[in-house]
Amino acid sequence: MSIVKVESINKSFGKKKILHDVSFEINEGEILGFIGPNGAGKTTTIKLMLGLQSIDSGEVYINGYNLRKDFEKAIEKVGAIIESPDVYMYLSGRENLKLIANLYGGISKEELDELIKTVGLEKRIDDKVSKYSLGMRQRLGIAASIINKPNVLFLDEPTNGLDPQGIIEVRDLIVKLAKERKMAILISSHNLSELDSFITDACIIQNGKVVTNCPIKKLKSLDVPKYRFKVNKVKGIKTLFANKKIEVPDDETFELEIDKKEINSILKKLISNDYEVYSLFKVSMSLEEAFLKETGGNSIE
Amino acid sequence: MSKLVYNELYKLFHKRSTKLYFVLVFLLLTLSLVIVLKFDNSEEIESNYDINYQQSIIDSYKDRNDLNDDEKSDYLGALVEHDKLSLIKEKGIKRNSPEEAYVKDNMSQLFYSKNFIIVYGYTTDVNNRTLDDINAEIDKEIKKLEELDPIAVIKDELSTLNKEIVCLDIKSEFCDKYFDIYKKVLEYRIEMNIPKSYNAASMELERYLTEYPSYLQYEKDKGRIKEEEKDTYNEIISFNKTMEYKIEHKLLTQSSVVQPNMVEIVSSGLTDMSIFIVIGLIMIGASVLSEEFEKGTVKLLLVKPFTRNKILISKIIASIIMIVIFCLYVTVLNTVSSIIYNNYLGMSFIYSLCEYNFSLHKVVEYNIFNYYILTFISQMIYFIMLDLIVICFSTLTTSTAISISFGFGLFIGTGILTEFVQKFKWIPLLPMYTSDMINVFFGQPPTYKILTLPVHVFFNIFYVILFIGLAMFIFKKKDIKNQ
Repeated sequence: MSIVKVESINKSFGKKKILHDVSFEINEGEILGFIGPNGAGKTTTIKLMLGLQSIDSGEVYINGYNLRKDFEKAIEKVGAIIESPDVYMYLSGRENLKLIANLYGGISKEELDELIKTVGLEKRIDDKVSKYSLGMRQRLGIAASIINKPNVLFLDEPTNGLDPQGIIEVRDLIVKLAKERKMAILISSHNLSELDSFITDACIIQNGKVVTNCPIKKLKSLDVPKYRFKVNKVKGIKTLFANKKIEVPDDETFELEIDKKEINSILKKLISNDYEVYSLFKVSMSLEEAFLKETGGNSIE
Repeated sequence: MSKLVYNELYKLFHKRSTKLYFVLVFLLLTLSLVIVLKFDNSEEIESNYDINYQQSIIDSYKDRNDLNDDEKSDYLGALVEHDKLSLIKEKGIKRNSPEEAYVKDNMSQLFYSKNFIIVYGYTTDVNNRTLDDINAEIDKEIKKLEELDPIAVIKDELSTLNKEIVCLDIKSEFCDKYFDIYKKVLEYRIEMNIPKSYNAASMELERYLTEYPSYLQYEKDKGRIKEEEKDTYNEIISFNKTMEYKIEHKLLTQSSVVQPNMVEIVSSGLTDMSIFIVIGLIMIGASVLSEEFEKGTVKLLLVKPFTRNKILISKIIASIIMIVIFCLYVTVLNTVSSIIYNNYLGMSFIYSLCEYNFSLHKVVEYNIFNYYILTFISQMIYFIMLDLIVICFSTLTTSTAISISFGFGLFIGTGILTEFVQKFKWIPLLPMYTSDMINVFFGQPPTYKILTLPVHVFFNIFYVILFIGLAMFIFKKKDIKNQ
């Protein structure tokens, strides 16, 4: 059953049309990667889905409630971080969480402590947020967005501005939450490779239009196995494997699109032709490459 | 909704600007108190300055034979004042005592007659007294002064008055009324032991007598009062009616020269010190919503299960609660500092206040509580109106700085617009005027004729609906722009 259903939403700012009939769904337990270049309409779509901007036409249903007609019920089980973690800088992390908990009610002190532990902020939770690093603020933002035990989570570029360590921390936290709490998660990014390791579905948006919307498995099925060989020389290699799809990036490397069953015969052939093989490994296709293959485009940027 | 209001108040109390406001108001009031206490020796300066000043005038004239008429008049005035002040100083007469009043008022004519002879060289005295005769009389008065019975002086005046009334040739209703009041005042002084002095009760009784003829005249001319005379008329009517009440209910007692009224002091925090409250409310009203937009936290708020209307109303309620807190805070600080100041000066307080109510056509007696409540409610209407306008404007601009400037502009502009009321009769119908209902609450004549009670009520309800409705409409339609 779909928890989030977006039906042909349109949005214009003045004469400029930002979104064209954007539609997609998110089911329970799914992590939808909402992917597109900067300015494609990702943030606008998320804002429309949260009632932060008005929808020109089309409908959004969350947990079966129409967002426009039944806002309070539709938004009740939603958690969100949009653009940046929105927290009150002059309050401590705990005070911020307490204020949000107060709005929902029925959240005990123990539950709050547990949540603080989940996002790993227990040591600094009583410090003013103004003293937090961006990564800590992002984690506090995530805690704030799941305080009401939502079954839907919207995360707009949650790793923006974070250092590599921060990105890993936030990513791990999202995976943990999805696993433990079985939420429907929408996570947007302009960087496909950042998401391809953990999303279940991908919705790719370009110039305000959805260009691809499919399970990640489908994208990954487009992945044809490719093996990279490191050898002492590449001279004559193209002639040797003239019947195979081959790429030669440099003087000591070549890549072959083959099935793993063929590896032994390839190796025998190389050795018998006086090539020295130094190393061999499988090269996976990135989501971006798969997407380009699917759409026949040049780039998503 | 209560959860939203609680959160708003929590945020407002924890904001640095709110904390700074409380500290600054405290410091400003404390500082002004310290300055007043440390440097207030005005009475002493006045007294020294006066005697030395008169002496300096005398010195500049005394050895000259070529004085013109104006200079002679100045010289005479200085000599009379100097005689009075040096007698007071020489005899160690206390300030504001009946003795001081006796020297300054009753002995004044003798000093004048004496010094007239010195300056002009002849006498205009009706009894044709010589300088020696006058000096002898002055000595007699000084002796009398040493064992002065101030109430006996009043009794003498009363018996003289009774004799004069009997001898009076021309009788009229006007004179009868005046003499009645004169007798009433003297009898009241005797009964309540209020000698003639410069103390508050005595001065009020004197003013009552001085203004009574005008009061009688105005009562007679009622209905034919010109527009430009209305204020004076109202003031005299109010004063005389109040005095009648005070004498009847024996509310005037012997007092110090200035008698601070605790009823007024407590409420003055809301009126005289209202600028502190206005600063606080503009600061809150301008930022309560705008700051959420500026800092991006509005998104955090809007994705919670509450409609935008509820969010806006909770912010308005929270800002009104903050205004109430500011009012109480300023009241407490102002009252405490006034008590400290007046106690330091050795003043005794009065705890009731009488005011003539033009709507009820009677004098109303207030205590601290009911006077404060009435002042509070009337001022809150004004504060809430200003708050709503600022919030409505900040919803539109979503800029704290612009909204604060607008709020102060509106506050100052209201004062400036007053100058144009004669030309543009509709100006008093603007919200800042219709919400100023203090005169209505205390039954005072309206500042602007157009502002009758139904007009006040109608326009205030209209403006409240307008500003809240407008703010709701703007807020509901507002898209949260992408960063």
